[in-house]
Amino acid sequence: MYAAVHLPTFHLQAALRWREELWAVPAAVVDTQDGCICERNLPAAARDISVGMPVALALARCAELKVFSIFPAKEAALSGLLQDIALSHSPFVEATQPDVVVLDWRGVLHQIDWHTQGDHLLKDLQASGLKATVGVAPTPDVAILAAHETDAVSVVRDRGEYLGPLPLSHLTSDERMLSVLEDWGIHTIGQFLRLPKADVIARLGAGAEEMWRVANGRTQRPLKLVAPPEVYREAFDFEHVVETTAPLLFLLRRFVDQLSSRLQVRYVVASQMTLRLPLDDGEAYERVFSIPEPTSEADVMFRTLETHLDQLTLPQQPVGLSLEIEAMEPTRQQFGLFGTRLRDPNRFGHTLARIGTLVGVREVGFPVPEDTHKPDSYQLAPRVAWNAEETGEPNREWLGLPLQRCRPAIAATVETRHSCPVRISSSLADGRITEALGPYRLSGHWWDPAAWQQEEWDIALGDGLYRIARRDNQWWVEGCYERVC
Amino acid sequence: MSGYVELHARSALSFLGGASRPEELSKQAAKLALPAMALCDRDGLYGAARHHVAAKDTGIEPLIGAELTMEDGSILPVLVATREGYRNLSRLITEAKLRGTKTECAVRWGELPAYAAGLLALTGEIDGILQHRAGRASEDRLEKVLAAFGQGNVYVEVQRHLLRGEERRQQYLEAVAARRHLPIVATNGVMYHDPARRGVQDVFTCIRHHTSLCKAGRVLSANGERFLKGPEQMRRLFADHPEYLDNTLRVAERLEFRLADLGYEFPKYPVPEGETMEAFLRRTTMEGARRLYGSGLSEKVRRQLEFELDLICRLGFAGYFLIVWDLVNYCRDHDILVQGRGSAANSAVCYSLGITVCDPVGANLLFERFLSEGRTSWPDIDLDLPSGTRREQVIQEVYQRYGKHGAAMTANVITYRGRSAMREIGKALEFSESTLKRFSSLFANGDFPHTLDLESQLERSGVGRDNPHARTAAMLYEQMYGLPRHLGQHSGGMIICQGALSSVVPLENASMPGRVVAQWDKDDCEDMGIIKVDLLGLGMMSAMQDTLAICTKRGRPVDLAHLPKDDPGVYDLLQRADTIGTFQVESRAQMATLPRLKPQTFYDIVVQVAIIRPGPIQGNMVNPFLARKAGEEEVTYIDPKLKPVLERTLGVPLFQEQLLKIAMVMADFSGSEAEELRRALSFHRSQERMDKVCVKLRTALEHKGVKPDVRDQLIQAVQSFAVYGFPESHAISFATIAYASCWLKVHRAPEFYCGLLNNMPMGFYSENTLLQDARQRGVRVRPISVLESDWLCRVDEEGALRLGLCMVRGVSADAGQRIASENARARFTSLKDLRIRTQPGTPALRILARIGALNGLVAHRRDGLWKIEAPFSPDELPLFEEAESSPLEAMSPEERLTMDFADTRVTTGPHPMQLLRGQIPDAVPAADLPVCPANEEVEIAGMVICRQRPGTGKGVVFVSLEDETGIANAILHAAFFEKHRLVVTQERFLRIRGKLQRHKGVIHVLASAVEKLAARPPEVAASSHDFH
Repeated sequence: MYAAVHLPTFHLQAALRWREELWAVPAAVVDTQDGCICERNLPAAARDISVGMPVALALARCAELKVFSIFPAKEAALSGLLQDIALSHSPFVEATQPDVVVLDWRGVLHQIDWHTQGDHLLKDLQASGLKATVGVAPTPDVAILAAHETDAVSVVRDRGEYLGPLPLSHLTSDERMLSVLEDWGIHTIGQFLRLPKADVIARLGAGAEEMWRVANGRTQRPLKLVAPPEVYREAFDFEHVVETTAPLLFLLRRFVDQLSSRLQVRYVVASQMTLRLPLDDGEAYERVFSIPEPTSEADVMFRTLETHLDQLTLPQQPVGLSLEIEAMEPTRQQFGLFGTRLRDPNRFGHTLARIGTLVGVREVGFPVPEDTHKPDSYQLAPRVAWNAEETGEPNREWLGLPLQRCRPAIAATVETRHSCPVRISSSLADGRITEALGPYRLSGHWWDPAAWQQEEWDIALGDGLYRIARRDNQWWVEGCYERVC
Repeated sequence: MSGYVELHARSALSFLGGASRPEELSKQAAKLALPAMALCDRDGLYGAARHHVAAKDTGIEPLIGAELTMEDGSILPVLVATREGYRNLSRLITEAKLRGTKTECAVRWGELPAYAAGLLALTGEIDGILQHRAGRASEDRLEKVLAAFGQGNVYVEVQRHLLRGEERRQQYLEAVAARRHLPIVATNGVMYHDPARRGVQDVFTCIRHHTSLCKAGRVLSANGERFLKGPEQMRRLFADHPEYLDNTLRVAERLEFRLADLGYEFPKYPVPEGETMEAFLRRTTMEGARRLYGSGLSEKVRRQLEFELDLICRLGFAGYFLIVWDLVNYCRDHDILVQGRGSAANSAVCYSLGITVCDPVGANLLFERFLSEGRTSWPDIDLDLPSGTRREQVIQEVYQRYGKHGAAMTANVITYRGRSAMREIGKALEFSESTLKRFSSLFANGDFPHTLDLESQLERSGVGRDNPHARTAAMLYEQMYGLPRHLGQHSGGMIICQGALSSVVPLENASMPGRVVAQWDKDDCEDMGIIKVDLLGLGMMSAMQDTLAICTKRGRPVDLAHLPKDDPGVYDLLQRADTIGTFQVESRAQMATLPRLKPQTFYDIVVQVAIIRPGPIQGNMVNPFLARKAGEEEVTYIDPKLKPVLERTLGVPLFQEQLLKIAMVMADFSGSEAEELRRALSFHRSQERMDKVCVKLRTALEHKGVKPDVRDQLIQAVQSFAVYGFPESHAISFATIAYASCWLKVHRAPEFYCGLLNNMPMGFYSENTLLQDARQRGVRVRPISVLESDWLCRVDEEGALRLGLCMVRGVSADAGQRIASENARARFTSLKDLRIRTQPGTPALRILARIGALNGLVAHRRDGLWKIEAPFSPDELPLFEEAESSPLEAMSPEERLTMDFADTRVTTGPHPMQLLRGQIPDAVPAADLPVCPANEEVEIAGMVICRQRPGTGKGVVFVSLEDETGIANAILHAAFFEKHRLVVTQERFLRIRGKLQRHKGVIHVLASAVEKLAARPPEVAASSHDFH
């Protein structure tokens, strides 16, 4: 027998995940392409909201309808969870659709009660917050049909009797074929099977033959099995709390060696490591390390962990240790003849990790200018291109002397005459302004609360050239072009 | 020297290149004490006429120029110095525009010298000839510009927008100027009149770059300095180089050309040798008059004709009348129905020339409404033609006569309205697609003023008041609403010119193949004194022409010109408001008035056509007129002196002519003042113009000692007509067509419905409603059949209406016409025969089988559907014998109905409501409403065929529900509608409960509850006529 699990209203389940209370009120998912409802819950259906209805009409029928869009990331997570649960019930699982899996239960003893078995599966799914239906049948396709048609668990023994009243859309998703059959007045599998087979195949082609095969419910087909994801993880629970880093490093070295050899056997490399230290008070410390150049070398991986642990101070002693590695296919790169790159990206990464330990992880990165007119706007990117070719074209526009910026800018008091600055007082620049160039006006983001505007001047003092700016009536020294020390 | 002239400003008519109207720029320029301003729209003179007109009021000198996109992408701004320069610029733009597609324009460097005379060139801004990909190429470009325009006619342009790097660019430009001995001018490269418009300009930039404000980054402007600046501000900016500003004044002095010197001439009519146009017109008019009035012309007619001819000749319009007369003759010679409309019907000369069909002398119409002494602009002669190919034939004839550079359609400047404005703003602010769709669906009442304020509409669309972008959206919406969006073409206005029209106004290709469009709209053309002939398409003219042809073919010919105007059947039809399908009197509002007005004469129809207009409605003239007509109210006059003017309309002013006469009688308005009032009445664009003339009228009335209450009444009447009021002559022209359509409906019903169906879409109602109406009049309607139908609908020998294959959606005209002609040649003997001879393809056959059009060749619809899917090759015997019946069951009535509506939008079977009647026992059929007691609660249910929300109705919505017995009408008050807005606008079938109101034969249900029809109707793809 085969078991199929179906997650009805899959889009909606993904959209409402962790928001159980919304199942009690009318809610629907809208297809952003055509602005029509593609799934709705029972309270919405009770208000006569149907699939395919324009969202405006749905709102006409139910003003309080909660409307969601499709969330691909949430749906991928939901599919993953469905597969995980299925794999815990059978080693042979097919991920037929994002919302459907089929389990091969042929190895299970014959005297088993399939209904009970299906109930177990359903309970596990429900325990994970999934709304699912389970169909058990002698063939995968019939099991899928049964899962679609039931609202809990359905076990099919007499295939013919079961399939007869089911709608034809279960047999094919070919819109053209369904439309022809609809025109013929054929709506159910039973009606379809009563048509002369040869005549129908002659008219509708091979697709109809395939439908016949499924509709008969007798044909077996091999499942396209999903392989369970390889987990690279090692963990250890201490009998007592650990007070120094030595035992941690000792264990970590072994974990890394072990995992490294497993990676090498599978020809994959580590792109990320997650270190987790369960603490004495029940909390846990967790840190994720990105590996700049993915590798399977144990030394490289261990050095990163070692550097981190050297600087680490924990609020409580650890009572355990786990290390999990995310693996990926090794990237292959053809270097140019004269192309240069970082000699050792991992060593550079290692240095960054040490800086991060000192100044805070969020304060380390690569400044990338933002696409805005706002001066000195940049983001800290976690990674820049390692190759010169990837760094993009430099800004060719040369606008004068290089500016040494003050970060943060230094508050200043400025005296003006006819709107032109004539004297400045600040911790960096102080004195009479001999020459001022400006104003330069900049503004942006006028459409939202982050609106900004400023007026800049370049000024000359006795000791050098400075850039000053006025924002919200406060003057700032932005930086210095040159200064006589 | 002090002062400054802005030489480089763009308006919103640069389409996304500017964010202010020319009028706003002109007004602001005057406010800032700029003596002059040059408008340089991108690749066109789109805003030049408006700039010129606005300057008359603001007092600035309107300088003309344009930014030219060169073939290498650089932009060359040019300014017009002389009339020759203007002509050159207009022709140069035309050359470039006609060469490319609608949106492309690239001037070739090689053609520049030929058109440079009379023009001055600027070097432009960041994308100008010196800065666009600066380097060697920019020097080459400057070389070419100097060679074309000549030293002394090229100016280096410097701008300061308070941005870093400008000093460096200026140094470069100054170096070039010094090296080439070129003078420098300062400009601000203006894109909007006020700093507040910077937001709109940024949104326009996003539209141009297909991005949003958040993602646009440095594509957006770095600051908001592109606004119009006054001399003081510019002098401060260029304090170090005042000579750059002085140079702008010198340049402005060189720009002598004004649009007042346009030099437009209407084409001369080629009269026989030895004859003048005036004499020829006189002779032709008199010949026509003798034909129409009889050989012995009455003194009154003769006097009127002499008066008109004298005036026409004195004002130099003789050629115009002859050219229009010639076009009318062309139509008659080519069997195309034609009728002059509008104020031309006030002219006895037009009547005598056969341009119009009603006798203005007999009808005592006011000629001054058409033409008067004070008139400087050309009179309007609009021709109504059958829409479609016959009108296109006339348009192409005009192109043929005057050439591609000699004739053009006037433009129609499409502006940002409610939906389009919010759509672009929403995209810029990254509102979701569903939010924008919701916003649009809440706009179901078009652009009529409506009771849902913008914030509420945004809130209901999902942009709550707490959304940080809600206020921005509302602000942008207000600023963007009404700004030009793109250039379309006017529905029928054509302009022509003696010589090349392209020297007068730039021409460009329209989206429609074979059409050339001018860069000015009809108001611009009128302002510039360019004559326009409106060749308007009327669906009803086309339907009537087809009807007449069918009548002739069936041996029941009709002569429209000699229809008796007192046919009792017509007046009975009108009094019963049985007017679905007729011209002008079929709308829901017209049908609600007809039983009250009870037309008994042709003039009643004239009044009926004119009375349901915003002008009379807003002026509160409808109810007094109806009460007086019914004898319920005494006929009084605002002033006894107005009795001769208002007698025909029972003391109530209904027509524009009456307004003009009132002004002449009560305020002693002269001919030219009456002309000013006429222009204000017909000029929809300017409320200001209207206000000005009202002040003048009020002052004149005061001087004449008219009592304050009478003054107020008169002013209110004038202001109401400013919104929209009909001239009497226009109403007479329309009433003529309305009467003819009613006559045809009464006396030639099958032919009339056939004509209507063959010219859909037109009018208020869907094909199915027309068919329901036809059947209720006893017309037999026969379904579409490949064995019986032609391509078009036709009336068969028994007088039944046979639907044509043209009504089938999804079957191409080619395939449909092939089937019809093959069957006519030799009747199809079998499905196989049809397939072999016409090869329509399986999808088309599937549709034909679904709607039962193959019945006769197959046993039933599903039998056809089964058989057409069988493998088939024309060269081989079919694999299955057609005689074999299919295993499929025949369709049920509900299924047939669904298929009919899906593929033809009509059914010859039962009405959908007939199938549902059993499930809604409480709903009263439409036909039973007249026997229900008034003021009782009733329930009506049906298919929505019409939703109306007139701008004059204080937000009231009128909904018409069709059932198998007829049409029931409901009224929804504004607050009730807002509560149920989406249900009313979105549901196809409704159930409405409310009090039955019956007033003088008009029946309505005043809705107190509305909901979708719970009984599930068949999937009917019916269409309704909404909010037009």
